[in-house]
Amino acid sequence: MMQYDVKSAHATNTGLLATQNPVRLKSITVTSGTVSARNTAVCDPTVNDSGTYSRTSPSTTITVTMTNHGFTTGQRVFLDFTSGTGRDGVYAVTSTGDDTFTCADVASTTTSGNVTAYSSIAVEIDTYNTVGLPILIPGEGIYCPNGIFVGCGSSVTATVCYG
Amino acid sequence: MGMQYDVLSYHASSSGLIYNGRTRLKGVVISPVASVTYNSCFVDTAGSLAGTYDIPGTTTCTVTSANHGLSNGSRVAINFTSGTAQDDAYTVANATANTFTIATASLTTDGNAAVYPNILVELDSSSGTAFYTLIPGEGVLATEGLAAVLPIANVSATVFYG
Repeated sequence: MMQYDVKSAHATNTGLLATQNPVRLKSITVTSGTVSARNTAVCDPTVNDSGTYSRTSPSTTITVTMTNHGFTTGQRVFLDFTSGTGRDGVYAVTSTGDDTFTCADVASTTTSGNVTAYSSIAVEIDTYNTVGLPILIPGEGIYCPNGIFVGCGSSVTATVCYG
Repeated sequence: MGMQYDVLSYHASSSGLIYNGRTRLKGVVISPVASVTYNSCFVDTAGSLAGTYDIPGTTTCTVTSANHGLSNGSRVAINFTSGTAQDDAYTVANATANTFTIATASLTTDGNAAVYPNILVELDSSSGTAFYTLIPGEGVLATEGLAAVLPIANVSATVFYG
């Protein structure tokens, strides 16, 4: 049987662009540092849009402004909040207009800032406690033609293997 | 080296269709939210039955589905598409030509149900620890389509198929 090599990359909760080359995702190990619901997603790094967001206490609704986002209600996207205190993770969006959408958070503190949305998710993994979860993807893995962005929820790290 | 093949993944937050067509279930991540026993099922949509159900304030649910063909003791997965019964795997009892009963929580509710007799994989969980099941070989064949039957809002799953 022909041998083949793989590479690995470790992502923290800031997210990681592991590679921009066409690869197959072979495995992912998700390790949460908190006993709470968290989402981790491996996304196509080229399918993303940037915008701004706000959440006003006591509401738990995040309102995102993103020009021509193209999302449909119920679609799951990974939101990478690059400023403010929004919690990175996968959210089901509610489209409220061509340029706006909302999503439900668990936090209700007032915050605002910038956000990047990754809408082409190759795999999404949910965790609820601190037990590491290794996942060997069957077959040759999941083909990622434009590379791999690993988006981790708050207090979550992930190690991906690809090749 | 065998023929290469890619797989796809699907994240399920609730019961529903994963893939419409012939495919193989290759792996499942179960992510429960609480230390309660739940059953999660992944089914072949082939042979699925449409019906109605009624739970009249007891723990016995009567399912009505014309010519269902099920036998006492059969294990089925049921997606209750209306009402408040919990999606789950159940054991058929008191089967007649058009009805059967299952044991549920004590409820007063009724509505519509999709019954799946062809359970490909049933996975139980009893804590909030997510776990992964890699299915051996090429996986379990779903001849017509692959669907998830998950306890309402308490379990999510990531499925690998192809």
